[in-house]
Amino acid sequence: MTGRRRWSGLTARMVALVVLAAALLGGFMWFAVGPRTAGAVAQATRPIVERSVVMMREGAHSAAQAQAETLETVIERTTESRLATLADLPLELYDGDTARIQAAIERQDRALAHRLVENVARLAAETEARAVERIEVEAAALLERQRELAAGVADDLRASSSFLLVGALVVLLGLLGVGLHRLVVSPVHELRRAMAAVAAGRLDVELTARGEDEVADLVRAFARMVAELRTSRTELEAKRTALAQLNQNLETEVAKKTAELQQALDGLRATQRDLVLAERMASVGTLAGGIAHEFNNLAGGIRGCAREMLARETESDRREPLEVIVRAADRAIDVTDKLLRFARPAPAGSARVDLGALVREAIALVEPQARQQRVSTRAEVGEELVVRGDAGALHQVLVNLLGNALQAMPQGGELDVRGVREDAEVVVRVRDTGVGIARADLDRIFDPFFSTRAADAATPGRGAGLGLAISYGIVQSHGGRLQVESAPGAGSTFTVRLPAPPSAIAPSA
Amino acid sequence: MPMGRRASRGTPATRPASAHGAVTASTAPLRATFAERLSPVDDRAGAAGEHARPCRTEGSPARRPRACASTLAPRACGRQNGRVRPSRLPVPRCLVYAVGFAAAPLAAQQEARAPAAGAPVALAVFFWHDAPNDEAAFEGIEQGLVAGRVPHSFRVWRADSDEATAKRQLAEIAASDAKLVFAMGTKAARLARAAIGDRPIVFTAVTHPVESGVAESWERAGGNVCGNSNWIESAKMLQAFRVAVPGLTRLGIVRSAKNPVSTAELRQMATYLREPGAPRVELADEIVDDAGALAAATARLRAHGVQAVWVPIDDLVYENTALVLESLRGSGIPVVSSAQRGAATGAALGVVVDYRLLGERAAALARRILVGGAAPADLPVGRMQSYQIIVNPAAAERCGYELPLGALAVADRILDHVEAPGR
Repeated sequence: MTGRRRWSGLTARMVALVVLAAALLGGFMWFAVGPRTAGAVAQATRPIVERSVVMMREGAHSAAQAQAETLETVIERTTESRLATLADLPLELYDGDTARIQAAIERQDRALAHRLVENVARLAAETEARAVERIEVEAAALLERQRELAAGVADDLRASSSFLLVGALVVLLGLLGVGLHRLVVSPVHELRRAMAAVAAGRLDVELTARGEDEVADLVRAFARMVAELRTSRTELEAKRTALAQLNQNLETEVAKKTAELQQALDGLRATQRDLVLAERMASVGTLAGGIAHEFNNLAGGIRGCAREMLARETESDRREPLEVIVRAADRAIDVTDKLLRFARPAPAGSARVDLGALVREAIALVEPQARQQRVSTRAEVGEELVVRGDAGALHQVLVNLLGNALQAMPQGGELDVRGVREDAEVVVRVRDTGVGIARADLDRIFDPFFSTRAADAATPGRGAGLGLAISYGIVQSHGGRLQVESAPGAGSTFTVRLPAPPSAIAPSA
Repeated sequence: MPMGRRASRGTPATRPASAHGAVTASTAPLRATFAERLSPVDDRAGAAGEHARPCRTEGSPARRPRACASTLAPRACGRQNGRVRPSRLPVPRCLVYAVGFAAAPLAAQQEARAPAAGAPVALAVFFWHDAPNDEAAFEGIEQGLVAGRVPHSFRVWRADSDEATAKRQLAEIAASDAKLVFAMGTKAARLARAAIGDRPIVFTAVTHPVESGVAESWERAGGNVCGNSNWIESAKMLQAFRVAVPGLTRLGIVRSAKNPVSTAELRQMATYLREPGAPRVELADEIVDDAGALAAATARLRAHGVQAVWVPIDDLVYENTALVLESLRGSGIPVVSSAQRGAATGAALGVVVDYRLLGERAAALARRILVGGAAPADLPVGRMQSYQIIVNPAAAERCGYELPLGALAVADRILDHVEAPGR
């Protein structure tokens, strides 16, 4: 059954192609070469026939002309010869014997006639021989011409046959090529291309099997194999997708957890840092409060005594030192007051404070100084920046921060204040483009009496290193946090974070 | 009577007399001679004057057929060497004898009608050499004497081209009782004229008797000499040549400087060509000193573009016609000749006189002297009006030339092969 199917498949198509080519070739031979050959032979033999006719005509003409010339020559020569011979005959030998003379002449004439008869026979033979020879020569020439023409026809036929053969071969090969290409090469090429695609991992190839031959069987088998592969691959892909999804979920979860952990850790660190700072600030505050309390008592006693003495002294020379003591005691009391505000800040009030308004006021306050230092200011403050606390203290914080910023930009710069609400906090960021703070100074920037610049005698209280410490203490007392971010040459940003009060509370200032 | 050449040299041969002549020395049957004499017409008509040949007992054995010596039958003496055609009707000897006996009464009747019957006249015949034309002329002489009913007997001397022999033989002739001497050929005539002065000498086959010194002039030979010539006029000769080569305009000639005859032929031809009405033919002359120069001379003529090469009556040339023919092999240029020997040995066309008729005319001269009493000095040198054309298609073919059919038609003789030289 398989053998029969194969025979009816590819082999049968090949045989059909060959039969078709043979039929085309035979048809061309029958309808084109045959008539052309007949025409060529007729054309080639025509000159021979024409030449034969011409030869026969010429032969007849020349023979007639030769015969006429010969007869003319014979008549002339015979007449002349006869007369001359008669003249030469020694007739005197016959002594006038007419009979003998007549006999002699007759004898001569008979000899002449006899010779002529012989010549005629010889002439006929020679004429025939020459005609035969001429005919043979002409025939040989015609035969040679015929051979040449035949050779020419043969060459033409040979050339035609060669062209025809080549053409038929080309057609046959073309048909076979087309057939082979259509039946074998194309399916095999398509199959090879499909194999390459499958080998490259692409299983979306489409294979169409034509016919029932071996190649079609092979294509169908490969198509089935590709379909099975495609099914397997789909299943595998689904499994892989599921696995990847699982992995992705896992990674997301891990990242989330990690972020949460990192946030928690950051919170812990900030809390720790705040705790440490608060701890340290509390210790410093305790110490500073104790010292300030004791020192304030002493300075109060000194200033009271000095004032009594100044009241009783009239002498100007003696009053001037007393006045100096009074002023120094005033300053000492002022410093101790500050230390006491740092160490024991007043409890934050519960009044509703519009922090945005405080920001604008503070900026308006430092604006002249800013213009003087060619510092541009910009403030962006939200509408709902309301906290609960001491408005004056918070105003002092903002003024301290703005003043520090201007002090960091003696050659000009930009001062940017933004007030926003972030979640449950009201955040005010004061950013300057000043000289920045060294890393080593950041941890100590809120310590009392720590300053990055020398004290200015003209501005007592400034440069004493108590502004940030006091501000820190105020913010702390409001339950907020004061943070700093800075780098040398890149400016500094101080952030005040205060807990946002319930929205129903109306602001007091 | 077979005789060796050495033994026979210088010995005159006797010839049986005709019906009117006496047989002085012969073993031939008389009746056969009568039969020959009584049928002269048959001789001429049957062999055209070529086949019958007078028998002789003198000369080289090779040239003397035994049959001739024993039977004296002219037909049996006919040469079969190809130079002349064989007899058309060869007659057996017995038949000749029978005819002879049967014709005896008729011969007696003829003798009764003879105008002058008497003792046979002794006649001497002198040959310088053996030449077919001389032999043919001798046959004509004999025929003519018979026709003229002159009783005679021949004594024949052959010098075989030897001067001493010729001198001795001429002395013998002078001492003989011969009433008249026939000198056959130019050399024989010149020697005979020099040696014999007391009796008539009739020469024949002398081409140019005046140039050769045989005769004083064409009108009168002078002295005791008369005769006739085989000279052919240039116009006739050229006409015959143009039969072989129609449209002939350039004719070459090869000759030797010492030969007066060929010189005379050329001179006469040139004279004729200058005549008004003569065809326009250019002559190219080549002179040779010996036969070895013939090939080169022929080659020069061939290079000159001649259409035919003329072999004149010049023994140096015509005896070597084969050399000329060989030089022209395949050239398409034929050889034409005015010499009978040349015609036989290579010429496609030869123009010659009928030597037998020439001999008859010589016999007529002799009859005038012997019977009519004419003085030789008063007789002009006879010249032939007629001539014969001999064609040789074989020779023409060897030259690569095809003779016109007209030449074959008018030929008096047709040779079918080229005779080898020296025969």
